[in-house]
Amino acid sequence: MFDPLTAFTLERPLLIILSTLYGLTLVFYCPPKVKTKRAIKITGLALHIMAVLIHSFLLFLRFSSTGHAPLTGLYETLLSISWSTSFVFLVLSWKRGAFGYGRAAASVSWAIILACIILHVFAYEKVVPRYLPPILHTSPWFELHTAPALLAYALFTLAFFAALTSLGGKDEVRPVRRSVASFYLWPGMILFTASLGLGGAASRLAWGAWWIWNPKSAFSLVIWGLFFLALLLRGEKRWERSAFPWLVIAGFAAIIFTYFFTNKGLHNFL
Amino acid sequence: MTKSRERKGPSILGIFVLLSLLSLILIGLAGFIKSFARPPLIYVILGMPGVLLLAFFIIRLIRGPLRDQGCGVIDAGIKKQHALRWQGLLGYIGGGLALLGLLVILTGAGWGEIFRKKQTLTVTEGETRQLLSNPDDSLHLYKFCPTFYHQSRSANDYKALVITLLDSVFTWDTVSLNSPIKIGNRRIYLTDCAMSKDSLYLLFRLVLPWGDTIPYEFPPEGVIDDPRFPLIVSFEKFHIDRTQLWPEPEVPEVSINLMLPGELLLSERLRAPDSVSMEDYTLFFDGIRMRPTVTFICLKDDSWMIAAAGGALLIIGLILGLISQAGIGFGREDV
Repeated sequence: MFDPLTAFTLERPLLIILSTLYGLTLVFYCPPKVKTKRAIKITGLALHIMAVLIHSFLLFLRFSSTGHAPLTGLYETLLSISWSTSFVFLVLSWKRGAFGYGRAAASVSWAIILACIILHVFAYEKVVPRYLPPILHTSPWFELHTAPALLAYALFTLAFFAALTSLGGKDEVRPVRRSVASFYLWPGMILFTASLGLGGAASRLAWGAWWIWNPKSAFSLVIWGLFFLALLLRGEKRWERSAFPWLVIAGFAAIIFTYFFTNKGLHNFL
Repeated sequence: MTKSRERKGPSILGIFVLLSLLSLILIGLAGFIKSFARPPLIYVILGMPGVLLLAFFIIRLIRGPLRDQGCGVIDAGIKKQHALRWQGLLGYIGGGLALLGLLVILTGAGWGEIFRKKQTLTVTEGETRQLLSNPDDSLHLYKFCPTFYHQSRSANDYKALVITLLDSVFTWDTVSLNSPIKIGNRRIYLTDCAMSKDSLYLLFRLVLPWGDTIPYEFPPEGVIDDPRFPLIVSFEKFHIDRTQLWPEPEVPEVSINLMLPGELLLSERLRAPDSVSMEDYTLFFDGIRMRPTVTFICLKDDSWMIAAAGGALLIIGLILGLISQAGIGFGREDV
């Protein structure tokens, strides 16, 4: 284990290294039309794996400096979502048609890491390690509730890109892209449902109520409903081409809204 | 084959599910808008998607998993229709379980709304409150104590020592955050704490001639309620209880203009109640203490078990759906 001060001091240089690696990954994922295209993409994949490993180390450093999983506040949740997006892409990149979304995963991770660097420079108070509020510090469910939610957010992000691209392109690739969106959506829904359930367990242990109508949990119900509807319509021939991608896009828009505009109390991510 | 799968006109079942889920989404939006105050009609409104989903579930169950091959309970004419479902037997079971789970959760919400008994208690240290409208049951807050992070003034937990009288049985218990106590079918949760200027006490320490100390607490006569100086308290005078000690020839009256914790307040020759001789007594001002006011929730609620069962069914259903979809490459046959 690192002592908290050393761990915190190492964060900024690691963020700069990470932004370089994710940026390079993105460059290699978008090769020019040359014969060595495959080799370039494999180099991109290797860079992406290296970036995720260093990113994991950064999360470990953050854990060392705060004493809890990096899942609270704007800076920590951004770090975790960025890591999750690249991690789930690498784990699930074996699916046919999914590898192309490496560009989306690397772009999202890169943009978020740049945002973290900006926070380090211009909003230092958002970055400094803070103690957990007592209600979260004593909760055995805190990490179990938040980690699946952030992983689900990452999967929904990739599903969004697949759904978005399925609206354009040649007719023969659109079904493949919809199937990739569905491929990301399923585990995302399972994790998101589990997160809601575990949040209910945490809430019951703390206040006795398994559902509390605060802005984030209420809007999470909207997200859940939109994605569940998308999964049901996916099996319906008439709607899967038109409604399915739009529902996934609407679900992702709801996630963005939830993340930035429903921050209150313990669910404050800003 | 593909021609037989195509169908004109809307599917009744599809409309059922669409309406149900759209209702859920609208409820979520309504809940978001009214999330600062608990919407009382929310569970009544929840009945609509509940009934629609139940109808869909029953019809779906009757039609069976092999309806496309004409093996369902409903006649073969329906085989052309596509109800909303996930492919294959696993998908059929998974979809059914997911919808059933959703129904069970909604039932749990309704059950909780009807049968839950909840009481929020705000108790100041040393006070007793009646529990859940039963005059024989009570809760007494004996002591409240926050714990802190190492070398920090930030609290990491709150603990309260309470004495409960429930069903004619006295119990001593420690309640802390996320650790409710369970007595019978009731649970008592510690949810919040606050310090109030109404429960302010001044602390004094009397040092006796032979070295022992006696702590004293007195309520102040006046408090400056100034938000710029929240920790500054003023008081004019106080009297030490005659049963403990009294001076000779009369009760001392101490006037203080400004004192900091730890300062010497009084050093005098006084006479103890059971003594005739005068001895040196020293009195220190030790600061102020606010008696904490703690919020408890006393709850009698079984609906969580129903909701947990529903949640488990929903997750199992989704996992089965995932497996069924993985079996067909997430719709790769469309390519």
